[in-house]
Amino acid sequence: MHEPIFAACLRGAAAVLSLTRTTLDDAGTRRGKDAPLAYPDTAYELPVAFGLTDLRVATLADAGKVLDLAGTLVRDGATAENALDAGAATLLAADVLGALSHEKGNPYPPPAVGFVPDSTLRKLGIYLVDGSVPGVAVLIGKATDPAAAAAMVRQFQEIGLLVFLAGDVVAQLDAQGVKLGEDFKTFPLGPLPAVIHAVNFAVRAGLTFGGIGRGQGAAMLAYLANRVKAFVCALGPLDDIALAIAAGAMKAGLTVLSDQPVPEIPGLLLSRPAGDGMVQAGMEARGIKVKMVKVPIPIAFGPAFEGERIRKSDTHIEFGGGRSVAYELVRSAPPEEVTDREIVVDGPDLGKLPVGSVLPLGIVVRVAGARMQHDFESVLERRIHRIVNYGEGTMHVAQRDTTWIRVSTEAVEKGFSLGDLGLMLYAKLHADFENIVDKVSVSITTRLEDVEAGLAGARAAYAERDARARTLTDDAVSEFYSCTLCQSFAPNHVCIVSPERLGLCGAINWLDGKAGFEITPTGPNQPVLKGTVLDAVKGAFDGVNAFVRENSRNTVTEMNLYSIMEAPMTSCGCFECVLAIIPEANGVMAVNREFTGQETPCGMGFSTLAGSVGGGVQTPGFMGVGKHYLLSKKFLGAEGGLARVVWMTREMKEYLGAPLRERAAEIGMPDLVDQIADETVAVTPDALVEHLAKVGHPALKLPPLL
Amino acid sequence: MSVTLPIPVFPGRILEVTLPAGPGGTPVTVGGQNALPLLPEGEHPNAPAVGMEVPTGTLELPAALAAAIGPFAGDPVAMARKCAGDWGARFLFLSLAGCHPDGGGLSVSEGAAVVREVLSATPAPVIIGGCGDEEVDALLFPAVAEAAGRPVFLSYAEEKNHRLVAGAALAYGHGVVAWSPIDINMAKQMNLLLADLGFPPDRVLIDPLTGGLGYGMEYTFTIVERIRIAGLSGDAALARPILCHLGDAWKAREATDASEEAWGDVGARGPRWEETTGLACLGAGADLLVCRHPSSVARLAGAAWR
Amino acid sequence: MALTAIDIYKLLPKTNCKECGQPTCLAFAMQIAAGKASIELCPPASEEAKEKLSAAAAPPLPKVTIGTGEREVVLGDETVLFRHEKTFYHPTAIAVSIRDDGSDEEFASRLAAIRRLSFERVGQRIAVDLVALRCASGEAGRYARAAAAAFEATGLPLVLFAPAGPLAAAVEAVAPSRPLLVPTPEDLLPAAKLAAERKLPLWVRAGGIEGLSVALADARAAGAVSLVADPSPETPRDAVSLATDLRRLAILGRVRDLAYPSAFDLGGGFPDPFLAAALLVAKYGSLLVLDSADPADLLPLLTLRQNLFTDPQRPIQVEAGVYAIGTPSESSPVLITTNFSLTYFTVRGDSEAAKVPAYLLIADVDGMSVLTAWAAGKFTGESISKMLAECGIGEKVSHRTLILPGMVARLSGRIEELSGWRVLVGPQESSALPSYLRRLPPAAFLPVHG
Repeated sequence: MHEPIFAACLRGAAAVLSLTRTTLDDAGTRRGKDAPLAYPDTAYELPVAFGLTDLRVATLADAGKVLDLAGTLVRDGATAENALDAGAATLLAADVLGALSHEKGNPYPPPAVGFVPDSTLRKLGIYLVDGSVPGVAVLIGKATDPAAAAAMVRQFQEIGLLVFLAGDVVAQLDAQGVKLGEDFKTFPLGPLPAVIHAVNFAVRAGLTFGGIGRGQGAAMLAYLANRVKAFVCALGPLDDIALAIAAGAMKAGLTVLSDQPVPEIPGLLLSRPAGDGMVQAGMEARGIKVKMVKVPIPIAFGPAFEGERIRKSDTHIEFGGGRSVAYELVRSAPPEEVTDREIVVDGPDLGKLPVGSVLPLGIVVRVAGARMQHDFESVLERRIHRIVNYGEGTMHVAQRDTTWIRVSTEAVEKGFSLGDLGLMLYAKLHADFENIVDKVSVSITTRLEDVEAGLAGARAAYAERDARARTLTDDAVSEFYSCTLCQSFAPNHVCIVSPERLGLCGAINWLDGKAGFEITPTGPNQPVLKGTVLDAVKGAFDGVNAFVRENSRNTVTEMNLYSIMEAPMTSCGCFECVLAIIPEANGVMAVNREFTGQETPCGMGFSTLAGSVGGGVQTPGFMGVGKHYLLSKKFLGAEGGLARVVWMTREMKEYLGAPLRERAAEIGMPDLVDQIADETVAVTPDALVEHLAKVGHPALKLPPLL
Repeated sequence: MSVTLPIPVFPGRILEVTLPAGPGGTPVTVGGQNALPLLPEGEHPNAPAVGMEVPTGTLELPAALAAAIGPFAGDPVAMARKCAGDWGARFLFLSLAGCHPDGGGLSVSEGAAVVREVLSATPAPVIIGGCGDEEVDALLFPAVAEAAGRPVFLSYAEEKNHRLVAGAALAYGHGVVAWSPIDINMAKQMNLLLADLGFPPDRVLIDPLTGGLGYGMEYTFTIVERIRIAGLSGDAALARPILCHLGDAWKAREATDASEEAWGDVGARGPRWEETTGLACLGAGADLLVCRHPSSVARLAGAAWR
Repeated sequence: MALTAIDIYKLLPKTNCKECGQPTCLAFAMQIAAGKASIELCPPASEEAKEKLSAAAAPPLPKVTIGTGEREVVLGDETVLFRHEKTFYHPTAIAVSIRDDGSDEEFASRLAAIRRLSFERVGQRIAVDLVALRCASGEAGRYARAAAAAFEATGLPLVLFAPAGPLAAAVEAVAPSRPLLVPTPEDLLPAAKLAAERKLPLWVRAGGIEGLSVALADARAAGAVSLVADPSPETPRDAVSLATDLRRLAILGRVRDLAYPSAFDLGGGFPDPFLAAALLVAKYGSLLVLDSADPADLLPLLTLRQNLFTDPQRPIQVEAGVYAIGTPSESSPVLITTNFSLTYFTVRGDSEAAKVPAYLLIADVDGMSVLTAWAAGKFTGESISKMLAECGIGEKVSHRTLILPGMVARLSGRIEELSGWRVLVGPQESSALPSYLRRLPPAAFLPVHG
């Protein structure tokens, strides 16, 4: 069904080529073959030829060679490949035609500007690299509804896109009073063929900013496709020539949107009615995201307010915290199901309620993104706490269905509404998770029946998530994540974070590592392929060894994830607790950072142990770990697991609480937690051994540690 | 008896980077070595280069500096000529601190004008430093990048603003100084981020943040050694020349306090403080030093051997 | 490959007898592994254990001591080539020279000048370690008297530069103070015998590494044990290169015959001694002799040494307390940060740059930076409130407003609740402090009433 279009592209290309050839010949006759040919104010000759071919163009004769080459690209046969190549030929030819037309400068009447000089390219290009100009929109053709076209351009301008216009739309938009010119980053180029100046602008961007040299055609096409976030909106009927140019754009990987019923080519050619839908589709296809520089809400918003407490007496309204039903939930969804920046508030809002009100609350954030994963929902959801606390006059405590939010009277007096709360979440989730989030919508309800209904769904989602977390095991995944954040002071320390062994600081779990990598691909969290399992019990993996070797700069050549005795993980300095063997007791003790005493059965307190263990070196018999690692099924697998623990501080026992007992029960030792000594029972090896013998601690029967 | 010296051989080589000069000037090329600094082993095609800072804006010079550069410091053009001429600086670091709202409040276009004037006054290679105010620098870097009529380096690009600074540098063919806060992984990440933008690696210098003697210099010393060893060991993203700006040496009370007689003459002590900071940087592996006192240029050049 | 604590533990008697001063054998094993204790401290250890452990624990670069008691100077005993690999243990010792041929007044005033080369920095005393006495008179009696006088006046260990005759005379006078003997090269053998006899350290000089390998062997053959090696460079560049060679031979090459602390005489016309000294502090000089006694030279060198010979894996702490920036008044701003030295220096520098008098509270968080201390639970609403109540700042200012680092803004509410102080959240980066402080409304620091 695309064949007629392909055929039209071929016809269009042939027509452009033939027109250019005639014009070139005329010029040659008039000025001589060796007459110079160039655009004004560019270092790149005829940019399209410069970027895509190895032909140098200085004279009319040189341009003839470009046309010869272009001619070879126009082949018979209405196939996609031929149509795209014909598109490339069209661009080459159109650039020659454009240069010919600029013999005496800009050939078009105002407001059209014709060729955009390098100086402008350099100025604007900085902001394309910087990302403050998030993309490029090219609007061509003739609008059926000029007002709709004007609205589109105003939308582009609001978003901050760089805009090029060519064809009848230039006059139409001028008549509509749309602001045109460099100050508005909107360039009316001229009649339809002048669209080539948008193309040669993009090519020059690649030459200037992309580090691409002359004639590196493949690199240039890749740059245009991947780096120049441009799309073309073609309004009105598409003639052969327009289609040939569009094919050229598609050859460079750009998306073309037409308001005509064209047969679609996913990602390249889309049919959308002119207006917001076309803009959204173009931006989405090219991955253009809008950055909100300042969140337009009536209260101040930023990290400085994070610690602010809102007292009962200053509270205008509160949600949850045991006083009402409330929950918050982040769900990922396919892109077509999320409308970016859609913020829906249902039910009574803040301003209309008396001071001291308590309302139910349901917050559902839906996010979509090419790199978003269900697993990241919890990472984003935990961020809600911080974001809400960023508001001056908003306070957030706890999470999920225990969430508790207060809004101060002062904030409500300033006009703060729940819609603003939604906007805060929207803007900050976009900003903080730029690489994984493309679209965010927020829906907030304060109607009891809706909240209750939503809560049931949310609880199901939490349960599903928890179940998923339980299935996330070291055996089930193929990669772990590194954390090298601490190398600033522990030069060769590499933390390996696996689903069943969180970072030794206790702050980073496997999902955080995974999300961290997606958010900052060059950052401290990198995927570590497990590779071949060398020893499942000790936790030896050749992929882990290779990664650790490289990232410790060859100082740590082997690392076993589940062993304290043999090639244990290095320790940086941030560990929540230290494990140390007690040879006399054939077991291991655990002492947490908060424990200030020096008396423990191994003869060393936390600070002494930390001093000997830290710094990124392997210290067999000693290891810094996160507290929760004690609950893991992989805890000291090589040495017999939790049954090895003969002593831990009382504080740690209390902190680990019920889950520790559950884990003990799980390994068939329901009394283990009580058998483990603490500082009130024994602080010397002798007393410890005596205690262990008395209570029959299982460690005494395990194989000798040494 | 013959002694065999255990000389480490490194697989990597530091990338050569050139700070271009104007017509008639001498460009500065650093890097290219495959061995540790100061030692007669491996290849060291280029000696470290010592440059000087050309300040702008309001200056409160410590006594030792006032005596040496006072007559010129208020006039960037005169200062630039003097630095590159009599004082022997191989390159200039034109600091636009004067564009900081608290540093003199020059407008962005005035800052750009200073750049134009300094560049036409001397052909010496130039690094242009921003003012440190995020909002001003966002306007300043594009403006000076455009104003600079010949290739310079822009200082500095950090994680937050690297796209803007790199964009400005790309637009007009300049280089960038990639800054990170005494952190080897951040230094590496900066180079990866720049590479990601397609920035040519031979137009990047590493600035690891230089602490002054007595005030954190040891952190810089060690991070420079670590970056250099990692680069020589084959980590291409760290195999780049390192620039140390010695300005923080002048923040030390020991360098400026004239009232402490037991510390010796402040006129000698100040330059010594800067010199010692610079010598430690050279010992660690710095390739470019920026100093403020003319005597430091000559003194440090005395240890900037190949 | 160094032995791990577990390897060492296996060799210990496992009696937990505590005679070594540690509560358990395991703790003692950790100490040995860290190079902080020696097996000699363990009386019940078997001969086998002692042999294995002393061999394993022997540093690749042996230790040489000069002087005795509190003023003892330790050279060598290093295990790594770069401080980030572990740490450097024994700072480059610095000696300042004096000649024996001046008038008594000149001699005394020079000694006084040397004694004054002692400074207080960040809670530590940094000072010249030794006096190098050069025999310029050639007279044994005069030299011996000068040695006694120099030791008497300064209490510093001596480095005795002299031909064999005067050297022997001086040793008679000051041997119990364990001076370092530096004979002229032709007098090496008699001096080595003297050193052997009196169990004193000896400075061996010869041209380059090859020359040293011969001279050191000669000194050993004469019975001298405690040696420092001077490869006699002619330029700073040679000095750095030769110091590096010696250190590498010891640590990488494990060449025992050349594994000695290095020593350099940068006086007597050595070109650019200051530059050489600074580079040798950074690069493997164990002992340096300087002719300059100018504090403007010594303070930077001693500071460089203080910087580089700190343990890079242990944060340097400054003393907690209330610090004045400029001359603050009762309505000056109050800032708080942590006692990690780098944090303190940065915040202090930036506060000073603001030219706004202020009080800076330094909280004791075991030398962590602000965010790390917060994450470790050491910089909390509770600890900050406690400090506000106990450090005495309440008497120094009449207002109750605290400027909190922006990184820990989340603590603001808790501090306000617990302490009654109002909290202003400062910038996240210290570099923004000057602008921040200058723009603070004075009304923020009005006295509180009632």
